Amino acid sequence: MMKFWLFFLLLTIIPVSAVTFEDNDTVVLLGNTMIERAQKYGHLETAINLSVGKKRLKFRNLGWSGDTVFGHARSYFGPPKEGFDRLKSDLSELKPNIVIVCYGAVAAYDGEKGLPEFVAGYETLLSMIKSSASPREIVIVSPPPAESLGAPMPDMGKHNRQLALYSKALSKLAQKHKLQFADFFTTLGESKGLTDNGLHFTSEGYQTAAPKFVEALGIPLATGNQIQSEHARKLREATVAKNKLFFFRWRPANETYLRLFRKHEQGNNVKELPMFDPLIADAEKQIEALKKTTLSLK
Amino acid sequence: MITRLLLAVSLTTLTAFAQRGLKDIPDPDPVKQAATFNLPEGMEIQLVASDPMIAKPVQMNFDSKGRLWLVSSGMYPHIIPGAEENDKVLILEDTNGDGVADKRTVFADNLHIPTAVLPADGGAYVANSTEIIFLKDTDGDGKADQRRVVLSGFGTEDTHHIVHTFEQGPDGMLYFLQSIYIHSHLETPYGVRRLMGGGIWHFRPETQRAEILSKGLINPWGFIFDEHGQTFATDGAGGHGINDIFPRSVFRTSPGAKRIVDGLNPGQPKLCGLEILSGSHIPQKLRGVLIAPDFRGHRINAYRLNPEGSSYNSTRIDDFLSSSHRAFRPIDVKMGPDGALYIADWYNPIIQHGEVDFRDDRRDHSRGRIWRVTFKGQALIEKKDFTKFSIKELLAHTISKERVHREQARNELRTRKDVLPELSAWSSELTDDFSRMQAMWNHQALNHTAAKLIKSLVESNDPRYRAAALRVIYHRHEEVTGATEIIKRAINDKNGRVRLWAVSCLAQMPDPDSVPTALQALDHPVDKTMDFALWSIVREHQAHWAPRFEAGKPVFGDKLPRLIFAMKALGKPLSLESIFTSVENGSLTPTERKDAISVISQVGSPGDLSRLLKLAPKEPAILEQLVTAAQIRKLQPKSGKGSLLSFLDSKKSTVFASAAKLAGLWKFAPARNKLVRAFTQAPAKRQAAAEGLRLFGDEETIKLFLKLSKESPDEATRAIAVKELAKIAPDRAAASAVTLLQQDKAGKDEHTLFTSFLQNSRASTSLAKALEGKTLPIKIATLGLQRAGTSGRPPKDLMAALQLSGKLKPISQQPSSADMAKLIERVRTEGNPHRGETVYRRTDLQCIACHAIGGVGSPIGPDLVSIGASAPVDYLITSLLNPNDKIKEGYHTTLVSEKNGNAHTGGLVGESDTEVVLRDYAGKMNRIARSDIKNITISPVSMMPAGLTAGLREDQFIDLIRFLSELGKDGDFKVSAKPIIRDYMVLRPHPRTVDGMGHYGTAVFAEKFEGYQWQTYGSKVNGELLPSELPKVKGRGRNTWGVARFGLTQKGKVKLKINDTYLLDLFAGKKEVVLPEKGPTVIELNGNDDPQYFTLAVNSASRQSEVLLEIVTE
Repeated sequence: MMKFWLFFLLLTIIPVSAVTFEDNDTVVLLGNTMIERAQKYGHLETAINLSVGKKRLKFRNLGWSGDTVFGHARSYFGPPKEGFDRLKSDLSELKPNIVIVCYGAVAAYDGEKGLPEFVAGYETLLSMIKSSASPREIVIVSPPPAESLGAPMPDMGKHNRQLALYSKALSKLAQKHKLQFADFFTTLGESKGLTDNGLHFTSEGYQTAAPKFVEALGIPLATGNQIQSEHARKLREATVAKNKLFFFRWRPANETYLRLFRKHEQGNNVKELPMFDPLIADAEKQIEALKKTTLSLK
Repeated sequence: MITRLLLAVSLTTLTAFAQRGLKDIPDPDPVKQAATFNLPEGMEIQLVASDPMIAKPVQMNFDSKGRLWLVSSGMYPHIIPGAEENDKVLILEDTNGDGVADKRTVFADNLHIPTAVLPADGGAYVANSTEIIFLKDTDGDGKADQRRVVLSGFGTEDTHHIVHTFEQGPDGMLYFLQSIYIHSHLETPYGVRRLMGGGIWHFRPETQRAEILSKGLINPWGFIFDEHGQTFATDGAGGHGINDIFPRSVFRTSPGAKRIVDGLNPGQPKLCGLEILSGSHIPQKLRGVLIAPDFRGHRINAYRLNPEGSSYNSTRIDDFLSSSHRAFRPIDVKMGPDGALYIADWYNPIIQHGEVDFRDDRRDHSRGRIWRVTFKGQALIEKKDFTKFSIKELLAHTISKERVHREQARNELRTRKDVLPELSAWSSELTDDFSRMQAMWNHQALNHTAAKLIKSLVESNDPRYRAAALRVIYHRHEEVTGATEIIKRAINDKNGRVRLWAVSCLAQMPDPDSVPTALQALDHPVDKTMDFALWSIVREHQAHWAPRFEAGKPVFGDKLPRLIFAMKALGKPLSLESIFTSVENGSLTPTERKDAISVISQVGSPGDLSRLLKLAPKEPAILEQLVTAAQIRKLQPKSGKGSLLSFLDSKKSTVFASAAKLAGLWKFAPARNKLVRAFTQAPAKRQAAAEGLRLFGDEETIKLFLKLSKESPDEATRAIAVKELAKIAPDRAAASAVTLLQQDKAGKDEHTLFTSFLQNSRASTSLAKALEGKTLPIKIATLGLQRAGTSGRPPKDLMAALQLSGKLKPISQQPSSADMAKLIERVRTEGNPHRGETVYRRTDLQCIACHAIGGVGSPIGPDLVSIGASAPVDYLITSLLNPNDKIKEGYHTTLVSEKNGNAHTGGLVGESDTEVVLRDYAGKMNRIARSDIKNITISPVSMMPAGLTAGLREDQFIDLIRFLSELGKDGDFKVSAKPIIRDYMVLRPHPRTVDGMGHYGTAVFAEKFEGYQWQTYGSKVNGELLPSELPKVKGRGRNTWGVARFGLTQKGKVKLKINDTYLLDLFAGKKEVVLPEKGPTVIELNGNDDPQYFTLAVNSASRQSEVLLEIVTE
C-alpha cells in the first residue's frame, strides 16, 4: 500500500500555484456528498475564510449528495440534463467570482473505462460554468481518498487506485484548461478515522481535513491560535447557521408545489423564498464581525 | 426586525385568505375525542399521552426498556422563513404501569420535519428530511449529545413523501421507505445508489450497505415483517390495500417501470401504517390480522392474509375501530411491550399539504395523541427491561411466544459484545423449526450467517420456514456453501412462495446459469407474481445468459416455453428458428402457439415477418400482430404482401380491419381500390377502410376524403372522412367539420370530431379558423370546450373560437370567499347526500365515467372512497369548479408529443423501450411508438374537464357536494367491508331478446351469445343495484328487463343473500337457480370467478325497488 502511495506522490509533483481570492468575492463550492455535508459542520468554509485574511468572502455551497459532472442528483423529475440546467441557472443567478469544483468520487467507481466519459462531462461542465457565471477562477479539486476501516467494512484499496487515476486525469484537465488544480487527494493522503463509512467526513474528520484542503488551494493557513480559538468556534457556528438559511432558500423542500408541476396549487408560497435573503445578509454581517475578532488573534 | 415585521404581516394576509370554511373544526378535548370511538365488543381505548406533552407524532417505536419513542413535527409542511428548526424526538414512559405516560424526555429538539425514529444500537436513527442521522446520549442525561449523519441525499420534493417509516427487520437491518416525488442519491462505499420515486430500502449499519428492496407505490407509510419474515406494505395514496413486497417487485408509479405488480386489495381505502396483531393479550380470533389506519376515514381497517400461489390473498374484514371525530388521524400502529396496541394520532382536521395551503390556518401544528387499545378479560404481557438481562436471558427471549419480546431481545443483543460464542452454543441445542428460525435471524441480526441453521430450515416440512431460510440466502448467499444447490432444489419446490424466493435468490447471482435455472419455474403453475419475477430476472440478467445463447450453446435445453418466455421478456430475437419450426409443424398447444406467434411478431426481422405472414391464412390473428409490428416497431414483411388482397375480401370484419390497416401501413398500392370500394359501399367496413386509406396519407387519399366529406349523402361517411382527413390535412378538413358540428343538435359529438382535431396544434388551429364567424349550438360548443380544456396543452385559439361561436360564458368559476362560505353552509344545512348520490350517478355528468368508489367504477381518476373524510368542503367545491387547481398525485396528465406534431394526453399506464401507453379520458389505451416521440412531459392540466357541473341546478350541486363530503365518513356512505356484489356487467338492448323471450323466457339473457354487448355497471355505495338505472332490454309487450352479470371470486360453496327476489331471475351459467317468488332469501352456489358467469334479470318495468346481493360469511 505504502509503495503505491509513494509512487503516486512522485507522479503528481507539479508546481503548486495559489488560488487568488479578492475582497468581496462570492465563492461557490460545487460537488457531491463531501461538499454538501461540509456546510453542516462549517470547518472547511471557516478554514478558507480565515486563511484569506481580511478579504471578505461570501460562500455558497451548491454541493449535492450523489451528484456528478452531469448533474445526476439535481434533476428531480427529469433526466440529468435538467439537473445540469438547474445548476446553470443557479450559477447565472449567483454570479460567483470563484468556483471550487470537486467531482470524481462517484465517477471513480466506473474505473478506467469510465474515465473518458467523466473527462468529457467535466469539460462540458467547465464551459457551462464559464458561460453562465464567467468566474475569475475555476478551481478543480481532486476527491479525497477513501478509508479502509477494517472488516466487516469493505477494503477501499481498489477504489483508491481508481480515485488516483481520476485525480491524475483532473490534474491534466486543469493543465489543459489553464485552471487551478487543488490536489486534495494528495494533501489529505491516506487516513483512518475521519469517516464513519470510509467516504464521508464526520465533524472531526472535516476538522482534520480542512487545513489540508486549504493547503491544496495553495494559500497559507490561518494560525493555529486563530483556527482553534473560541471565536473561530463561534464563527463556524454562525457559518453553519448561514448555510442553513441559504439551503432553505436555494434548495427548498416541497419544490413540486413551489416551482414544479403542482405550482398551481402552492406556487403562491414561493414568495416566502426571497424572505430568506435579508436573513442571510444579517447572518453574513455576523460572520464578518466574528471573523474580524478571530483574525485579531495572532 | 423589519424583516420579521414584514413576515408577520404577510402571514396574516395568508391566514385571512385561508379562513373560509373554518367552521368544521372539532373540539380538541381528548375526553370528548375518546367518546367518539366506535369499538367492537370487548375492546377498550385509553389516552396514553396528549398535547401539550406531545405534538404532531409522525412515527413511533419502542426501545428495549419498553419506552415509546416518537418523532414530532410542528414544522410540517414547510419551514417559515426565520423560524428555527425545532422538531423533536420524544421519549414517553409509563413509570407506574397504569397505561398512561407520566414521564416525557426531549431527546432532541433541533430537527427538520423528522419522519421516522428507531431506537437501536445504543441510540436512535432519525429520518431528518435530506438525511438519516444517528443520535446518541453519551453522558446519560437522557438527551442526545452526539449527532452523526448515516446517509444523505434523500430528496425533499414533497415533505409528506420524504424518507420515512423505519422498521428493523429480524435480520437486524434498518428498512426505510420513500414516496412518489422523491429522488434519492446515496453514496455508499459500494457505489452510488439512486432511487427515483417511491420505494423501499434496506441498510446494514455494520457494513454501511444500502440497497433497494422494492420500487414504486405512491406514498407507502406502512411496512411490516410477518412472523415468518415475509414483508408487506400499505400505501397512503395508492388504494390497493396490502402490497406483497418481495425483492425487485415494482409497483405503480415507479418512474420508467416497464411492468408493475398490483397490490392485493385494489379499490381499498388508502392506508398509513401497518401492524400485525400478535401476542397473548390479543384475542385469538384477531391474532395474525393486519391492521392499517385509514386516516382519511378516521378508522383502522383490518385484513386477513392467506397464502395463494407465489403470493397471498388478502381479505378485508370488519374495521378494527373507528371514530366520528374529524381530527382523529391514526397514522401509525404498533404492538407495545405490554401486549397492547398503540395508535399514533396525528390529530388534524387537515391532512397533508398538496391541496390545502401550507399556511392554511385550519392546519394544526400543536396537538397529537397516543391511544392504547386493550381487551377486556385478556391478561397483558409482562413489560420487561431487556437492558438488564444477560446474553443468555436475552437469547431465551428470542424464542418467546410473545413477538414483542423476541424483537426487543434481538434489538438489545445487537448492542452487546461477544454474543456469538454463546449464540452458537445455544443454537445447536434447538430442535424445532420455529426456534431455529429465530436463531438464524439472531445470527443475521449480528451480521453473521448461520449456514447450518439455514440448511436445516430449507428441509422443513413447512414452506414458511423454507421461504424464511431462502430470504437469508438472498442477502448472504456468498457465505452459504452449497447455496446454488439449495436454490436449484427450491426452484422446483412444491410451494409457489418458496419458488418465488428461489427466483429472487437467483437474481442476486450474476451467472449464466441463473436464468435457465429460474425458468424451470415455468414447469409449475405460474401466477402474476411469479410471471413478473421471471420476466424481471430474464431482463436484469441479459448480459449473463444471452451471450452464451447467442454463441449457440444450449441454455434452455429443449424446453421451448422457456425460450419463448425469455425472448418475449427481452423483446429481442435471439433465435427464432426453433420457434418457427414448432409453429409450422403444429407441435404446440394452442397457448404455446399463440405465445410463439406473438414473440415472433414482437422480436422478428422483416424476413421473419414474411414467414409469419405465410401462416396468416390459417391463423388470421397474425395480421393484427403484423399491424403492431408496423406501428410500433416500424417493420414490414420483406415479401409476400400480395396475400393481403385476399384478406381484404374476407367476410370477417376483424380480418378486413387488420388487412386494411396493413395495406395503409405498408403503402401497398394494389389494395387501394378495394379499400375505396369498401369505404363507399360497405357500411360495416367503412371505418376500417378509411383508416387504411388514411395511412396511405398521399394526395390521392386527401382528395378522396375531401370530396366525400362534402358530397357524401351519408352523415357517418362524411364524419369519417372529416376525421381521417383531420389527421393528415387538418386545414382542408376543418370547414366540413364545422358543418357537421353545426348539425349536432344532441351535442354529444358521437363522431368524436373534437378528439381528432385536438390531437395536433395545427388541427386545432385549423378548426379555430374555420369557426370564425360561424355559430354552434351551445351544447356542442360546451362539450368542445371541455374536451379542449382537458387536452394536455389546451389550445387557446380553439377555446376562444368555441366560446365565441357558442356564445358561451367562461366556464371556470372561482367563487369569492363570501360566496364560498355561504355555499359551505348550505351544503351542511340543505345538502342531501342521498339525492346527491343520484346526481353523482347521472351518466350525463360523467362522474362515474372516470371515478370509482371503493374500487367499483372506472380506474381513470382517483378513487373517491374516502374523499369526504379527507377533504374539506371548500376543497371539494373548488375541485369540481376548477379541476386544474387540485390534482392528486399519481393522476397528473402525461403529455406525449410526437415528432410530427401530434400530441396525446392521458394517464401514463406503461412504458418500454419501444412504446409508451396512455389511457385517455374515455379509458381508451393509446400505444405510441418510442421512435415517434419527441418528448414526454407532466402536464399541469387535469384530465377532469372544467364545467361538468355547469348544467346542474344550484340545489343539485349542493346535494352532490354533500354526497361527496359524506364519502368515507361513518354512516351510509362508507364502503363496508361486507362482501357485497358491487361490480356488474349489464346488457345493452339487443333486438333478438324480443323474440327470444317468447321462446325461452329470461333464459335468453343467460346465453353465451356473442352479439350481446355488455357494459360495466357499479352499484351504489351501499351495494344496491337500481333496476331503473339499467339499460332497458325489451321483452314482450311493454315489459323491459334489466340484465346484469357478475362473478364470485370465492371458491367452492358460496351462500348468497338476495334482499328480495320479487320479479327477479337468476342463472348460474345457463342453468336457472330456483328462487322463491318474493322476499329475502339465501341460496347456495358454486363460486366461479368468470365475471359473466351469473346472470340476473329483473323486470324493470314493474320492479323499482333496489337489488342487493351479499355473500354470507360465517
